[in-house]
Amino acid sequence: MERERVESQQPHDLVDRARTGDRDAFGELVRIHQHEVFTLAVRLVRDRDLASDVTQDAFVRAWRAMPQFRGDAKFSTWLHRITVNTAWTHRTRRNRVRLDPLESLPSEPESGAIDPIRAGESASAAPSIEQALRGLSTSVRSVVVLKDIYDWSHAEIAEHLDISVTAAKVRLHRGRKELRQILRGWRDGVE
Amino acid sequence: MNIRCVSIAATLSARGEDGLTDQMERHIDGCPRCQTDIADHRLLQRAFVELRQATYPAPGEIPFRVMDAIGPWSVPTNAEARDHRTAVAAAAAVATAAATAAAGTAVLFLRHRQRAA
Repeated sequence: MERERVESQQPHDLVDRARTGDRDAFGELVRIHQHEVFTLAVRLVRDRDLASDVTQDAFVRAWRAMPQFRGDAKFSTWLHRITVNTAWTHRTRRNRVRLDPLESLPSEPESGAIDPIRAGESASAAPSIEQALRGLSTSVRSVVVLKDIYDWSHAEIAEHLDISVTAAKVRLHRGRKELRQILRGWRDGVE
Repeated sequence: MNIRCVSIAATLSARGEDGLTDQMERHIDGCPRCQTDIADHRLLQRAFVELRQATYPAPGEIPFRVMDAIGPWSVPTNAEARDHRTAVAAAAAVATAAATAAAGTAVLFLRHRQRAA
């Protein structure tokens, strides 16, 4: 009965209740936002197991910080910021461990299969771009992901990745250029 | 690829189509290479918009892992008091106290018997 009542709550009600320490409400927020947090984590760290750890840790940090959440930003935006900070912390810790990230990635996002792009086709290029993103270095990819997919400002990116605004712009420039080159390479390979 | 093509490619990467000047757009109209760059840029932008909606399904155990990590006593509130884990923990505490008391009583009883003997 209690669970039914929780699930019928609107997200902002859940956030209000979670801020006052309601675990049931926070649990529901976890269920609602887990996929988007995990997706962001995967895009940042490229490793499924590490992304799972980042997701768990990000929610735990969010729970601890809930009383400080004032609602100035959307809850999901606030959660994304925590996820980025958490991913950065985990990535720094795991830098000593050699990974083969492409082996441990989820096979595909729910939106479709990943196939190389084909020239002249009108089908979605999103899966191909997702794949191309994996080919970028972590420092460049993080900026492209946050700017072009999550629409963060250069200032936000700089603050959360602990880099200068100029560095964020340079990495974005480089990342977009590299993505276009990857696209061109695929197209030339098909033609 | 001439210097203007390089400049247009750099502008697209840095600022997108908004950064193109009228002069650049006139060049693009007659330059197949720059037209390809523009097409790729637009394709990327469309793909990014789609990726905002795409998600990787999180492993099924994530909610359980999170709630386990949070634990039942992280933020003491009335809601916590209703949590069944709190109730279980309280019952465990009562049981522990009862066991301790029983053990203490047994020790006292044994000492009393030793003294009596």
